[in-house]
Amino acid sequence: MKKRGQRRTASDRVGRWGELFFYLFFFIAGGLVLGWHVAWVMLPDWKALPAAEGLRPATCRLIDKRISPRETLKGYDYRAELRLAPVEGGNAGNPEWTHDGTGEYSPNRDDAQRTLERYEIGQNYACWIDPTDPSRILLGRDYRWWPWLVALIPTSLMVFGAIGAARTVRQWNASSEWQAVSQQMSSFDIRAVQPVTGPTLDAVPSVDRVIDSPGVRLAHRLPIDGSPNWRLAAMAAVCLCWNGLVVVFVERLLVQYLNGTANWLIAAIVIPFTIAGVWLIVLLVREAWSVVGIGTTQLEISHHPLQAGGQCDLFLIQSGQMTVKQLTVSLICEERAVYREGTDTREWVEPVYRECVLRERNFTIEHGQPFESQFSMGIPAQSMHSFRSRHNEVRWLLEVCGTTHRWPEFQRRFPIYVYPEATTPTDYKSPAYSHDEPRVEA
Amino acid sequence: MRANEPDIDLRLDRSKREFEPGELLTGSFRVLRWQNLGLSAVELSVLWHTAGKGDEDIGVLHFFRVPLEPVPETDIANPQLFKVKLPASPLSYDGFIVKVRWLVRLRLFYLGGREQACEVAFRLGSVPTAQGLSTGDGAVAIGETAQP
Repeated sequence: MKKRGQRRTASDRVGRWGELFFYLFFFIAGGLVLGWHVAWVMLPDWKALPAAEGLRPATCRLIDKRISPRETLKGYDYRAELRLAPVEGGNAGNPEWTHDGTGEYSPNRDDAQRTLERYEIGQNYACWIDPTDPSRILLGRDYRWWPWLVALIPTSLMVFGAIGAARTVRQWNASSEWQAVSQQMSSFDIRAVQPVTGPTLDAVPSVDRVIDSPGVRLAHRLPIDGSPNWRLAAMAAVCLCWNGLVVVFVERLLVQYLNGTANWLIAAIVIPFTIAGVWLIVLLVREAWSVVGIGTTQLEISHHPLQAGGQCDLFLIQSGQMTVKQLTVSLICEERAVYREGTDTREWVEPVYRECVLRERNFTIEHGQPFESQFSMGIPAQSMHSFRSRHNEVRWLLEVCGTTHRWPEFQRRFPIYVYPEATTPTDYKSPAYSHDEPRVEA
Repeated sequence: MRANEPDIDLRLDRSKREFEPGELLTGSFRVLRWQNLGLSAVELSVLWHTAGKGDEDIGVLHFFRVPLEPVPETDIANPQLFKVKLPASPLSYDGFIVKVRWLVRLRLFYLGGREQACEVAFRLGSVPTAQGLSTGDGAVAIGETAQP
């Protein structure tokens, strides 16, 4: 019997407090920023709406217009101002200078100039007039949408902080087992989680993904892990983005060069990026050529899931146009672990078992006449079943490797699932559960 | 054992701690001299967890909690029996970087936030270690007869 006492140490408690303060900091900081934003940006905007101020709609004639400068620490800011006279019964009243509805101060004089160009002297425009102070004329105020967008930033900080703090408090003094169980429960009533009985098949990946495609010769066609077409599409996307940016820089450099103002330092920096772009294009063409030339690989299986110690039939179809030096199919078991190292999440894959179940040498595949082979394979007795949890996995797969005279070596992988020996076939339909979803039955 | 700690007795009925899927795991626990030590609750779990290179994952098969505050729900000085039907998976496994281990864990919670845990490990299934995997013709169990 192993006895362990005082597992929660002082440093653990300090860590919990630190975690709580970390989330509370975001919550409070987000709240302060949101409060300031609402008080100083959103509320004045709302108050300044003509309808909100009780102004009455009217018509005004533009008498004059100007750009008004304001001295700042960096120089001058500018805004457009209009001299408007209310028109009532065909007669124009006393004109007043107004800037409401013509935008805020801008350090760019052209902004104010562009605003003025929208208005013509002598023309009538819709406006709002303060009934208690007729000298107060508003041309209108554009409803600004960006304050709402900006409000999302502090709001998201608050939500992040609130969720994190709530989770930290919830995990306070709660065992890892209690947390694992409560994740599955909608209620925290401890009566509801006792007693708990376990699943029939836990932490075993569902076989549904593998058996949803029927085969031509055998029962199921195995899905390929990381289809070459998807890899090709991903490579094409990366190549396009990279070279798109490179073209922008190269175009600017060319323009500068033709104008005699070439910046050679920038050019020296861009050259390695250009070489990398060309290298990406070469890789993409080579990959596309391989995909087209090597053709598709299909692997069919007689039944699924497999069991340790069990046998199954496989049917391989390899299309393309090539002379094959060697084509092998290997049964592989490997372990995969995901772990955190500092702020990085790393993955480690360790092969555990490898067995060549098919080896063919020196043959030719012609276009429209794919290579076909049916063969048997056995899963080693007492081997570990497929296992998958959040950070750990034991996976089985079939790997098709080919070396040809013309194309580079290719490798295609097909995941398979090995279930525990003791389970009956009906158990296979049971869902799999892991750390995130422990099965709990009240 | 310290004077301010209770005596914990956690045991499985079967002395050989090896089980097959579907078998019943039975056992009991009791905590002696627990009164006046500020115990707030006791939790018993039958669980699997991973060890090795990856971050730890945990799956709870059986869980129950006995609140002792403000009023003890039961006297845990008397044997508390538990009975669990073991599942088909995950089987105990001792791999290179992934290990799956089963255990019965008893946690004692004190009012000040302190915890005390007691564990009894057992094996589910008979999967050999990764190095001992049987191989067929042309097969390589990497780590046992690894080929360059």
